[in-house]
Amino acid sequence: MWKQRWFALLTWLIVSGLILSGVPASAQVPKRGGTLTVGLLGPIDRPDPHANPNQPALWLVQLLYSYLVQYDRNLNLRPDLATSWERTDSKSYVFHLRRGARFHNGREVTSADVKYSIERIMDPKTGSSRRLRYASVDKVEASDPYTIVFRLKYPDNVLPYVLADPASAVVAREVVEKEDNLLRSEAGSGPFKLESLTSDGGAVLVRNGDYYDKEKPYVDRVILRSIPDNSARMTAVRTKDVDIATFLVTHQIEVLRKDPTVVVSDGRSGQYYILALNTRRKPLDDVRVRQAIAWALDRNAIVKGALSGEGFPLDAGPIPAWHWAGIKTEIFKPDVAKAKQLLASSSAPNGFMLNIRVWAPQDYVVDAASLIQEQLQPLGIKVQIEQQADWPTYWNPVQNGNYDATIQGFGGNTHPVDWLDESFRTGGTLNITGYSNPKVDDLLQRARVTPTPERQAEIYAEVQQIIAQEVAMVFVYNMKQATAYRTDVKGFYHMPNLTLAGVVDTWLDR
Amino acid sequence: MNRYLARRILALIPLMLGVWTLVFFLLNILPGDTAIAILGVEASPELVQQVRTNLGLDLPLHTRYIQALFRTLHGDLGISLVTGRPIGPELLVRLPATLEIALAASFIFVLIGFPLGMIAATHRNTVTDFISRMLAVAGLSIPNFWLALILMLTFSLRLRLLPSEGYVPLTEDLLQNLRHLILPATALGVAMAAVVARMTRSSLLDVLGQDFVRTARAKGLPPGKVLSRHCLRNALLPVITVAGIEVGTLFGGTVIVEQIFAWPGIGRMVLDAIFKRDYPSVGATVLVIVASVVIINMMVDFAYALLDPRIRYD
Repeated sequence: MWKQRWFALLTWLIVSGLILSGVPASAQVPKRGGTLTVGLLGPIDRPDPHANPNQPALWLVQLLYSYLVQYDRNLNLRPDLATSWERTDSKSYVFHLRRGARFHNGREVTSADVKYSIERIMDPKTGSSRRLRYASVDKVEASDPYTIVFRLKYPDNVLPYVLADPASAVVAREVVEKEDNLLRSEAGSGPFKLESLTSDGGAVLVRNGDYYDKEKPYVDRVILRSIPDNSARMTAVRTKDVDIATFLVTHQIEVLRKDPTVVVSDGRSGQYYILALNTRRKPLDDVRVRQAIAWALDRNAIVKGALSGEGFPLDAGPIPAWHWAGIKTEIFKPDVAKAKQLLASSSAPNGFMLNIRVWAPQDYVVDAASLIQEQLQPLGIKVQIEQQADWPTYWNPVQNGNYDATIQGFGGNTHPVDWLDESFRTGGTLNITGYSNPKVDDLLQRARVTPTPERQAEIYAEVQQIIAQEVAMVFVYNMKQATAYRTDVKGFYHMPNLTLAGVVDTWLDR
Repeated sequence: MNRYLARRILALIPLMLGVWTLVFFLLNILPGDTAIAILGVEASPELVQQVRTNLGLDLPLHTRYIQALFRTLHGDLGISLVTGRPIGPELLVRLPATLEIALAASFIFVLIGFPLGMIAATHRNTVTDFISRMLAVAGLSIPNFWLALILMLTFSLRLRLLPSEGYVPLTEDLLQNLRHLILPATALGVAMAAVVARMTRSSLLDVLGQDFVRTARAKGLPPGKVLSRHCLRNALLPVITVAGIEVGTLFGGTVIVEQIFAWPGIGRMVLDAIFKRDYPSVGATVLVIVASVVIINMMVDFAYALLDPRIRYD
């Protein structure tokens, strides 16, 4: 009998040992503390969310402030200051605020602050470039401290997405009014506080101990460094000078993928690069000329040559295929014969001179211009590339319609409205080619009031078909903009809207 | 001598104001303004106008000039149109960084360039001369940004000896400050060393061919004494002129190396300010650059007086 008992005990020990050894190690527990260093692509100009901060400043702003809602890593909306929201009728949105969120100066965040912040963005005197995105808002009501209601002039299903824009920060009124600007961060209620701005265009941030999320952030300090030179920024993450390097493109991504001490993120980002053809000039006013150019381009070759393969060709509409509103099947394939045919039947059958303006620091644009020059040659279109090193000198004529063609990118896009409205609407603020089609205007307006995402996607697909066929702009590529980080940086993720939201979940395994 | 000094320094003021005025008007002739530069592709005409009004750029040019002049004469360097922060403190931090790198680069080119030139001249037409001249040509031909990147890849990435970029103030941590200084200073110093080497060689050869040198040798003086007592002071005069010009260019001319090593110097500051049309910033940095160049030239002139007793200032 004892022998049996021993045997049973032994069996039990062995079996449980086997079972326990098969149990996967529990997910690593985040370690608290440490300093995270991030390399930015340039100096922070002004850390004021409502006053047109540049890209690096926007990265800083997004960590210092809170928003009603924010984007998650798949570009869906998630709660931030608002715990829930609903659409009570076609022209009203109600957001419910959490209790106990505090500004960095200690005061609780209430609906009056949200009302003040949105109205500040909507005020023309503030001069915010985001003002027009709130065009549908009629009134903002803060009747009770934790409820905010948006009353719209017309139905608009884009409003919640606009509220997630990094510039739509909720600010503390008394700080703004005292300083007349937002250069200090007591106005914020975000996961980090601003300790100081450094002389090289960077910043030092410290963890907000009173953040409404008691768990996060995990790191104690974040140092933002401005490293404008792309090679230097890429090298900095390899030499451990920075833990995270942002905005890495083309061959930098290629190089970093080969380094085992560095992780390269997925580089999906919402920008699109176009060859803009000024439709107010002959012969570019002729749609067949523009179509000929669109059919002559080999976008895959351009992605390979100008982006070292790190990008997606845009052979349909401006929204890339990986996005929910992107067209999944191609419209344009490189077809020189078809292009020649189109040109032959157009108002410029023997070709013409085309001047393409480019901004010299964008080497991925300058390279694309050279490739396009080659690809248009068989059509008899002689391309002259004009490089400008100075941004205002380059952009001014484009803005005023005094140009033939230019290659440029429009970025920061997350919702189809960002990609389409201002660029293709008649008189839109980004409509640099002068394109106008009342059908498109009508469809864009209809998409805003269409309730279901499936129907919205259909309408946006239709818009993209039209603007692609009519070649409002020649869509070229969607460039990857990746983030690279050291292998001991855990929990970080790349955001397709290129903010550093992933830093809030980041911890250092040191 | 003191009167001379006073006169030179007083002459600095109209010079600075003159250059400042010239730059002010030149910058305003360029297309575009701060509003367009800040707003980038989002620059709709309506928004540009609004930002322009907010920044005070819609005032007539002569009004803006007089306001700026008044402000500057009172010693107020103004507020940056781009960052909204006062320019004075910003300059105060960047100036030491620029001075440091100028000093360090000068140290390197004196240490390398001068002896290299001397050796080439005293061992003329030998292998040593040949090698020295080759090194000088290499130093002149190599673009400093290429050298900067090679140094960074070798010493930061491969050997992990030095940081790849950045700046730590002297007062904060001397060792880190020096570690960050070595690579950018070398990248800048090498090209300058080459210029100085060639200048030293040709100048010294010139002096060595003179009659008085033959006399000194004939007297029986050892070659070392001939060199140090009689030749060097004469040979140095043109070299110092060139060195002075080279050091002058370090104030504002180091943009590329500053960019690569993220070194917060004035060169990068003024270039960014020009691209962003940050008129007050450009004005303030131009004043600093002019003053620096003039002061360096003054130091060169005084060095002349030290070397050549025939030169007197009064």
